[in-house]
Amino acid sequence: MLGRYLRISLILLSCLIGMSIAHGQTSAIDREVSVSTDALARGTHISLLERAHNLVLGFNSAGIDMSEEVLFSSESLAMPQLLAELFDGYTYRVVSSSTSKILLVFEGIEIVDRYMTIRGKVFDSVSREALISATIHDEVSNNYAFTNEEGFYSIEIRRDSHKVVASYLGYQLQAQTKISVSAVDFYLSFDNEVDSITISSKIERGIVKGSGGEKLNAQRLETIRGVTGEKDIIGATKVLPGVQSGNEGQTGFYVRGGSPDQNLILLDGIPMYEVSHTVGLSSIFIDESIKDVEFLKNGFPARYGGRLSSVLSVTLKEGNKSEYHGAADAGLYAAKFQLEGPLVKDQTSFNISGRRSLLGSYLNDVYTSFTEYDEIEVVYYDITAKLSHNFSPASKVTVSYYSGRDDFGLLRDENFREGEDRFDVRAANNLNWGSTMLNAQFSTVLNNNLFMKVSLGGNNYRFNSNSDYFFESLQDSIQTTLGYQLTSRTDIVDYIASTDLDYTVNDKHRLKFGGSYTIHSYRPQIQQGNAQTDSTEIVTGGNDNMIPTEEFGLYIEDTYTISENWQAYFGLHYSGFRIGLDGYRNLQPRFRLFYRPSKKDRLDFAYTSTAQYIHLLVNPGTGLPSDLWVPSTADIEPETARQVSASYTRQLGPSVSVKVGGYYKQMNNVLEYRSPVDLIFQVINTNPVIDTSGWESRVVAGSSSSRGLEVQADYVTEKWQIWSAYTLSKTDRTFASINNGNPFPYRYDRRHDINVGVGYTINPKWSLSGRWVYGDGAAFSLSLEEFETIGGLQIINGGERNNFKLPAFHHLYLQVRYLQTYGNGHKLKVNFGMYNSYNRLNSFYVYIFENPLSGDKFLRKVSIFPILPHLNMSYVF
Amino acid sequence: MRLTQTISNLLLLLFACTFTACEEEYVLESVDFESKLVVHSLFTHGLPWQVDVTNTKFTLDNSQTITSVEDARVEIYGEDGVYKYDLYYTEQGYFTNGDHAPDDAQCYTVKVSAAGYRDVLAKNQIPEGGEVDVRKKTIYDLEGNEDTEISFTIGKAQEDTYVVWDIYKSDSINIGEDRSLTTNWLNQLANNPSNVVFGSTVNVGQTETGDITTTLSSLIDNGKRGGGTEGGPGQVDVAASNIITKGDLTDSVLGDGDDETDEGGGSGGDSSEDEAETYSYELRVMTISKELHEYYRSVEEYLKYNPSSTDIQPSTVSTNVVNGFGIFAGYHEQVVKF
Repeated sequence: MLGRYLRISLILLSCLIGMSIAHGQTSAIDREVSVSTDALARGTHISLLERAHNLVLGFNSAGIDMSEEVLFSSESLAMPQLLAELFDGYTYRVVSSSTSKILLVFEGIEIVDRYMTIRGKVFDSVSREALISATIHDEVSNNYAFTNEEGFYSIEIRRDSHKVVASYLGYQLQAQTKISVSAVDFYLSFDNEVDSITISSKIERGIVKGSGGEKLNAQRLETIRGVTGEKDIIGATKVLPGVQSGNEGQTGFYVRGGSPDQNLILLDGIPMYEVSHTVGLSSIFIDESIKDVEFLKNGFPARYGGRLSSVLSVTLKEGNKSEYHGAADAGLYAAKFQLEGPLVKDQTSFNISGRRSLLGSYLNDVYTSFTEYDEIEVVYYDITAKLSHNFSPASKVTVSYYSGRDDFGLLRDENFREGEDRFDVRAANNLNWGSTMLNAQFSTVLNNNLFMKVSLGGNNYRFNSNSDYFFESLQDSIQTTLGYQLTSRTDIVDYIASTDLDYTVNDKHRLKFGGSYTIHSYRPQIQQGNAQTDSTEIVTGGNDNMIPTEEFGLYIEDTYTISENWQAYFGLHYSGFRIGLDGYRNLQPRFRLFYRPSKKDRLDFAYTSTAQYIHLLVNPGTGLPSDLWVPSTADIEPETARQVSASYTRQLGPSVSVKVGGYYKQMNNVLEYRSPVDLIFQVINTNPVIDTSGWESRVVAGSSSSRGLEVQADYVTEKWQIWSAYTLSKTDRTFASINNGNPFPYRYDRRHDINVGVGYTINPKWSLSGRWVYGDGAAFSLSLEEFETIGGLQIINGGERNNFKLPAFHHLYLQVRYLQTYGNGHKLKVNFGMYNSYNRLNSFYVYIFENPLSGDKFLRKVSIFPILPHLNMSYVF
Repeated sequence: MRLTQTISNLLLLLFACTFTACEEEYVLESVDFESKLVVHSLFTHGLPWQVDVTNTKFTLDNSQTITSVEDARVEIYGEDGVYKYDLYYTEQGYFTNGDHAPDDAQCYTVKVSAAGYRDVLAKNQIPEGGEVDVRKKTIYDLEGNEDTEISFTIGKAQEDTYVVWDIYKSDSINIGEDRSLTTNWLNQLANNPSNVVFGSTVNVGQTETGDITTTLSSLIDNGKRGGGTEGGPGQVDVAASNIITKGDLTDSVLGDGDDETDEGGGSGGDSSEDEAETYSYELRVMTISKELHEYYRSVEEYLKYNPSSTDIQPSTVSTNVVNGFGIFAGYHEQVVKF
């Protein structure tokens, strides 16, 4: 089967490359072009010609009188005629012609190409860490290039270039002059004027760099701290318009009406399934060990596949290749460290970091005194490591590793008394999950234009949710005991192989192509146990065996710089999925167009088609999460999405920029539970309906549409950093068998979402920041009308799906930072802040509580984060 | 020093805030609950009207109860909306009018109004019944034991009608004369319609007839007697009855005149074919309207997925009562003795 995939892949790849390169263009020599009919110097005519028609005339100008005046016979001339008139009196011949370049040789004059291609890498001068998306600019030809994720670039420059400049935000520029060799590496020095990487709010030079995604702003990240006071990478994505946090305590993020499982989160290229710790206390990423974070919510490059809504790509640092550095950080909630340095100077380096929660040591003793829980356990840890070895400046190998785990437990006893009657409930809920990831990557520069990266890795994700309920009642002198147990598990093992090639065709076209092959194994399982006095019944749903599946993806993309003002991106992603004898194929075109009418304006249009073969089933009721990752099957088709979006960015002054955009996204085959029944309540039901036939019978597929308007405004100066983002959106879902087939609001349909942040640097030591978040509450289904059937059965009218909204979610985060820099470069950072400063009790969820003895019902709201102060101290060396 | 102390105190205070209780009673804002009328009536030719009128209650109002709305006005309208007569509340707990009963092929509208409730309307008619043909045949199994095969065909006279049926032991009590039994049976179906109406073994089609074949011994041995069809020809194994169990057929319960709602009772398991053959049987076929069929279906769905807890969204129970809930539906009854 692999062979068949490869054959298909090669054929497709060949076709795509051919199509892309051919691109329907004619050779420059066959073109008819307009010229000036004024009598101008030959050199002026050539310059005008090159600029107006985006072509290059290559010839040795020695011996040619460039100042001689030339008068053309017509305004429009075929190229051969034009050349004849331009070089009247000279004997020449055309030796080559491409779409944008003509090479001429004059009799007795040697051929000289005025252009040459240089390639190389851009590094941090101290750590020797490759810099991603650094800019290379040839000031003579005005050509731009950007480094890829390995710091590699390739650019065509004029041989007579005096200056090629490499730049990277937060680093000092570096220029190379009188370039005569084809391999040029740049080593940029960190700009000590700023404490962290600064990304200006100004529109970047050039049209678009890298993949066109949002680079998370490191300085802004300083002000976006999670509940525990640590820099929060996941939280930083949520301040972008179109990205929502879901609800209090939700760990995932929701992009333009999508669900959390529709976000492709990559750690050094390997997809991760869960990237947050318990109730969103912090993400699994340790910011000190991270080199780069890129986030895309539309116009995904074709190299990304397998998810519908967004891409968050996190790249780990390789480690400093010349010096040892590190950081130690301790706070009220967790402690962490990071250490990096050379194993072999300038060749081999390491970067290792770890974190462990401190909550467990005191939480249980203190917290249980103030809450209704009798025992609480919160433990989590992360270990991240990366090893990098340079075989040569052009080739290197890296090995990345991550391992992390969460244990979360709640124990609660409830006792009800009414006269002699009593009802006792003991509920023990435990959740644990974790991932182990390992990835090896080899990258090399094959020639001036071609870069290659090969990866081999894997990930093992485990999720386990266990609930034990024990009921003991004494009513009318009759004693009964009941016990229920529900366990849901997900076990996923992925093995992933991929190859990526980066080919700079010329200064106009940059191709990327490659493929990946993944073996996924899934084990989604629900296990139910009912014990009534002396009898025990175990019902198992799902499959106890691993379900093997295969997924492949092939892609090709071309970044086409049409002119100084226009840039287009074309991409195709072709993917396939196989489970047993069933399979699916999807061709997903991607397109993006950038237009920069002036240096202050930029327009961006994108069309994205995506497909997703795995699904996360989240229990829609209250109670313990029971997330099940399940594959597409013969009955459950892959989710697909199409999205169009457009945005306009305007630089209003040196410090202010505004971006306005809109989108429409249509998703098909999204899943919902047929009836939003909490699994645990299914178990407790007197007639349990745990469906042993599997999860497929409990879900239905439907469609979803989302549209929105997004506004973002930034103000950045040396002292001030102010940003604001507003999203107006509407997301509906439609399922034939739910809500009578009528559209209903998506659970996270949030009409208004606001993020406002302010950072102020008082002096090099002290700075303040604040962030206010507001969002409409999540929709939920609540049935509040009871009546009797014709047979006398008392029932609750179903009402409409998601007919209520939780109260609006908002909170204010405040922070004070102190930075002490010592003479040896070491730093002491103290960070004090308050999450939810005005103690807003936002809803985690609401539920109807029924007194088992009186039958009285009440609505209860559960909040998990009141005002939470944090104090973190870190020492960086 | 004082500053340090102040900061320490502030930190302690803030830290203490983190342990404020995080679960509290929550009052829904902007919920304007309006209690609605719930109307239930299954009617057939010749039987007096029997209309139940109750109300809905707000789940979170623990002082509210579901009661009969005795002071309601219940009006019956005939074809073209012509007023015919009122029904009156009786001690039996429903509205009726002993002088009037519905007729076949007549479309009726009920209008119920009561102080404090919005008026509700519902419209339905008694559907036509199809032909019912019962056949008996003596058969022998592989061991030579004699049995009686009973096969019957239930036809449908109208599109969009559905059929439910049951077999009664007619000489134990004079069932054929007790027509209210059928109404009660249909009412009880709402408690667990899947047992009879939508048994998984019933062949499902959309139109035409249901051909059912069974044997006397299977009626006795398996206790399966009732069934339902959504039409469709073909062999249909009978579904389980929620009225008479195996024991009821053979023991003295029926002989005592106890009615068939005595579920699960009886001695069971030791019945004999000889005993069964001493009785005669009757097939009772009820043709029900599309609205009643949908009502049963939705109740079945509700019971299948709705747990005892209230903090989930149950499925919706179908209704043909405008501005209210419940079901107002006619049915046609046919009885064939064999």
